[in-house]
Amino acid sequence: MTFAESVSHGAILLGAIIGVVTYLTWVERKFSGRLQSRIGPYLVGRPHGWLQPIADALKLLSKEDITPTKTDRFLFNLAPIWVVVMSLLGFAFLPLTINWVLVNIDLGLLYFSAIGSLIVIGVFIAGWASNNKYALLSALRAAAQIVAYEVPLLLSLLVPAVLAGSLNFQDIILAQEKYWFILFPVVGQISGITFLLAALAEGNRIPFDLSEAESELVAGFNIEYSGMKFAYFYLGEYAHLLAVSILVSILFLGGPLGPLLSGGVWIALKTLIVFLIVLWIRWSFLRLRIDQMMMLNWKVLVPLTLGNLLVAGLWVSLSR
Amino acid sequence: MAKKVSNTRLVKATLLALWFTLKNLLRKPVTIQYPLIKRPLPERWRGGTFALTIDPETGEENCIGCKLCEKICPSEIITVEMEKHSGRGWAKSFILDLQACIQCELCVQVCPTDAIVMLHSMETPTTRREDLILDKDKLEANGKLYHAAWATGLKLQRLHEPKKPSVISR
Repeated sequence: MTFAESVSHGAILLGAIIGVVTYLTWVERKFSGRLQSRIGPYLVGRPHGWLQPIADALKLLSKEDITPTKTDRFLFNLAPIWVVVMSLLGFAFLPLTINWVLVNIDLGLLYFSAIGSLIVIGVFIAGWASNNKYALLSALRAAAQIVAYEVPLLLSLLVPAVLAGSLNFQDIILAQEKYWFILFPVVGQISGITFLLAALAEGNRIPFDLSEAESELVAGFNIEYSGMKFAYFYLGEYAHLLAVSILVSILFLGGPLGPLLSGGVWIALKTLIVFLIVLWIRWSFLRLRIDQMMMLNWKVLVPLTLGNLLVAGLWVSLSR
Repeated sequence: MAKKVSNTRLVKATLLALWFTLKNLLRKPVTIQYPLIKRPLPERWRGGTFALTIDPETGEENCIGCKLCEKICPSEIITVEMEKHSGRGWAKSFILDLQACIQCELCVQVCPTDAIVMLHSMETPTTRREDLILDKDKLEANGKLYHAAWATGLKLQRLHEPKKPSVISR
C-alpha cells in the first residue's frame, strides 16, 4: 500500500467505526429495552427511533465545553482524547475481511492487546486530573481491575494463537477453515468464555463496572466531564467494546469465514451476535463487589486460563 | 464473614438470571405509548381538578357553604364564604388553590350535599400559576369539561354506615 492509500483507507475506517459506534448505542438501547419488556427509543425517527443516536450526538455537540476551575487543565483535556485514540488505534490491526486489514503485522494480536491496555492510562488521567474524590477512587478501581484482568485476558487470548501457531490475525482466521476455535473441545469453549469475561472487565461493563458504580461513586471517573468530552469517553468505551466483539468473532468464531455470504457480512453478523451476548450479560447480572471481582479473577480465571493454555500447548505439541 | 454459598447454587443462579432475561426478550413489550395511547382512568380516580356541582333538576348550586371542606383540608387551600338567603346557605365565594392540593379527596368525603367532586381529568397542567387558583366560576365550568369520578360525599358516607337489618317480608 502506498502512503496515500493507507491514509485514505484509515480515514474510511475511522468514519465507519464512528458511525457504527454511534448506532451501537441505538442497538444497545433497543435490545436492553426488549430484555426488560420495554421498547426502547421510539419517537425520534418513528417507528423505531433510528434517529435517536444522531439526536444524542447533536445534543452533546451543542453543549457548552466546560473545564472546572480546580482541575489540571492540560491533563483534564488530554484524558478523553487519549481514551478515544487508544480505543480507535486497535482497529488498525483487525482484519475486517481476510484480505482487508490496514496494518498487517506478524505480531497483530500482541500489538492489539498492548494498545487495548493503554486505555486505562486515559481513565486514570481523567480521575487524577478531575480533582474529585469520586473520580480518583473510581480511577484507582479501574486501574486495579484492568491490571488484574489483563492476566486472564492474555492467557485466554493465547489459546487461539497457540492452536493456530501464529500471532498474525490472518493466520488465525485461516487456521479456522475446518472448524471454529469455539468448537474445539473443552479448550476452545473455556478460553472463549474466560476471554469474554475478562474483556467485559477490561471494558468496565456490567457485572464488572465497579469504576462507575452509581450508588457509590456517583458517575465514576467521568464525573466532571460533560458535553463533547463526556461523549469522547462514551465513544472510547463503545469503540473498545466493538473491537472486543470483533476480536471474539475473529479468534473464536472464524471471523470472515462462512458459506454463501461475503466475508464482510459474516464478520458483521458475528460481531453483532457477540455484542448482543455482552448486552444480555449486562442486563442479567448485578454488579460484583470489589473483593468478589478480585476473587473471581485470581482464584478462578487465572488458574483456569493457565491450565487451559497448558492443555492447549500440550495438545498442539503432541499432535505434531 | 459472609455465609459460604455452594458453587452449584451460584451456577444455578447465574443460568437462571440469563434465562429470565431471555424470556423477557421473547415476550411482547408491555410499554404503553402514553401520549399516543391513553389508558382508561380508574373509576375512583383522584388526581385531577375539582368541580362544584349543580343540581340538574333545579339548576341551583349544591354547595351550602358549610365550610366542612375548608376545615378538613390538610393543606388549608380551600376558602369558603357563606351567605344565607332563600331558606338555605350559599357559598358567596369558593376558592380552591390547586397548587398545594395533595389530592387526598377528604373535601369530597365530608361534603354533605355532594357539592364538590373530583374529576376524571389527568392532563391539567398550565403555564400560569393563576390558572391553578380555582374560584367558583372556574370550578363550575370544570364540571362541564370532564365527568365526575365515582366518589361523592354521600356515597362514601353511606359506606361507613352500619348495615341496615334486612326487612323480612311477611
